[in-house]
Amino acid sequence: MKKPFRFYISVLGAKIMIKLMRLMKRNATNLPGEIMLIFYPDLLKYFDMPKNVIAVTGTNGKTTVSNMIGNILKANGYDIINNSFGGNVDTGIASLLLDNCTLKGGFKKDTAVLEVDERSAARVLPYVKPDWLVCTNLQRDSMKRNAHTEFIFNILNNNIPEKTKLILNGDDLISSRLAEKNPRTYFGIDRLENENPTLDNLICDIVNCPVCGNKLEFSFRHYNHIGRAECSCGFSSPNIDFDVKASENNEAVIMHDGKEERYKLPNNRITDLYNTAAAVTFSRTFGLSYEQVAKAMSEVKVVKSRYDSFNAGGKEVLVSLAKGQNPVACSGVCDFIRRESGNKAVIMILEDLYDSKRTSENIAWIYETDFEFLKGDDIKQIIVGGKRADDYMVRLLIAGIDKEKIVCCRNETDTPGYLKPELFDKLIIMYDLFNVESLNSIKEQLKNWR
Amino acid sequence: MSIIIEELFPEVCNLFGDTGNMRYLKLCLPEAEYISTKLNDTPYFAEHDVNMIYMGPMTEQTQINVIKRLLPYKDRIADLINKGTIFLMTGNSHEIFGKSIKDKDGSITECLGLIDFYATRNMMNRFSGLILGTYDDIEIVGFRAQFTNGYLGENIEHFVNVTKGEGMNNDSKCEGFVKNNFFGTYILGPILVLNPYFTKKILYKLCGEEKKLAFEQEVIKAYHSRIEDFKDNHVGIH
Repeated sequence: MKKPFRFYISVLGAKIMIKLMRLMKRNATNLPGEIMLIFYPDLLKYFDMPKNVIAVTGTNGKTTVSNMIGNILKANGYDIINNSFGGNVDTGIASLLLDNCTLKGGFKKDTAVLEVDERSAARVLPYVKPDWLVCTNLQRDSMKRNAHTEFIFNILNNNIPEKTKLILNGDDLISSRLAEKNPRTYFGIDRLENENPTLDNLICDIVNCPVCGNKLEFSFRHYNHIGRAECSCGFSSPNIDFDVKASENNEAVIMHDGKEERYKLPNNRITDLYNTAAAVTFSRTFGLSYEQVAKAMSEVKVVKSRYDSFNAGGKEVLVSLAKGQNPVACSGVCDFIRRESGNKAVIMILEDLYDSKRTSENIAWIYETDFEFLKGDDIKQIIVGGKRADDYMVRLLIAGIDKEKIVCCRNETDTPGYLKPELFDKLIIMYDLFNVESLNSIKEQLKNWR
Repeated sequence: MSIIIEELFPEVCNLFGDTGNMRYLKLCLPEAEYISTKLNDTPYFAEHDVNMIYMGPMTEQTQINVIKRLLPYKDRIADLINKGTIFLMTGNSHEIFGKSIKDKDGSITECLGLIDFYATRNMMNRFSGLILGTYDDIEIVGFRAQFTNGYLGENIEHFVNVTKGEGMNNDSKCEGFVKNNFFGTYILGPILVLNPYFTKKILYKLCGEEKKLAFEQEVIKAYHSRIEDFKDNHVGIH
């Protein structure tokens, strides 16, 4: 494709800007793309993209899955570019491409793994035209930005290029119906032996048949609307190509074409089982052998910013990203907490600092988050830090949690001061991505525990 | 005689934590009878008297389905409104009772036509923000997040006089509407938890006497904390 002169100017300008920003030790993951997209809005469509372009999108799990896919491909000799340290909206992706392309707009590396924010799909997918699109799931997310799953479904559905091959979650009756004419491979998790599914979520984003509107009959659900269902009209969950049949000894047992494959799991949470299934399904469908993928997966670790654990004063401390304003992700962490053994204390720092810098956070989302999961007798203390402390007090009381167990303070970093170590064996910290600074301060305080 | 409160279609009209309203009302008024009607069920109000009907926000496709579901009961709903039954319709659910929703793509969704109100919709333009204002003698706080603008006819009262934030459209400082005891508002989420004095008004209308709220002290503390926050000049609307 003949490229306009403005494209070359954009590439050159961005490369100079990126060099200067790095000299000044500034992060160049968004700004160069942002400026160049203002200068030349059509920029993205003129790159000669790498031979393999893989996009990963979805509400929850896309960062983990794109990292897993990147690691699997790297371990198998692919030379990749990815935005694992950058933005996943159009400006971040433009920055990544501008940084890695040649002056003519081509690429020396053979593969791009792009994490794509689902809300930004209209500004990315039609231009970069991925060969593969992995969609982890579509679930309720920030009401302000993402509205609802029907809105995000329509954005993706209207912008997936015709030739893109899809890797979809067959247990998600929303995203599994994306771009129905495109070739697709489904992953899923069967009803697991000894599974104690989460059937008491406050929300389920699909309850009626998308074809006839009658009530769907779920044969099982793992959590929220993720499970398998059918309708009397004949509509049903799709046949699963890569079906997780068991999760045992930190391994996922996946049936594919009648054969059993085993892959190492980063942990036993159902959400990570889905992430593993998505990465494996892509990699196997892409053409890697079972042995190649299994060997690469044996070395995969989930980045520490998402899950971490350490000991403080003889107590086990677990740290989990909970993604504020995302009720499904946050409920998943509450579910994880209630399933952990022993007497527990919980610190929550979930305030959206990005929002609170400009306005007052809309706390409606906490009324669709399953804080009710935290009312068990084995949860001895819940300490909430942040400006919206009074709101959390009300929410936790409505959830049925004893007032004596709750402490709500306005300063996140004060939270460890309220802990009563004699009451619990395990401390679990759930934090929002914007609270990493406070989290680090809390971790430092805990390290001084004796 | 027991108080009957019907929640319409909670399995699909629940987008933004709005089911928190009924959970809270149940704690405030445990003696009432609560009926939860699913989209494929016949509404309880069709054949019985109820004291209050609640419905929360929904997707645009669900709005069409709900209009179809309620259309056969249009006259009954009009009777209930005229009789003074309490309706609380949050988020975009109140649009269903107006005349129409006009989409930017040119399509028009005809609504029940019970209220002199219409909405315009642009799916490419989502706007969100806080609302601070007054209704009668009380301050109302809340949040909006929507694709639509609303426009009221001349003979219908608005709900909130907005003092900070936007009204039902960009040029208005009026938010929502009130007809007898029908409260329609773009405010979404747990409006009853966030507005204890409004909830007390609703409870008074339901019971004919003052009622103490569940967790009243904590709810009122959070309410005043939010008002203080909203009134801070450094706190923006969006």
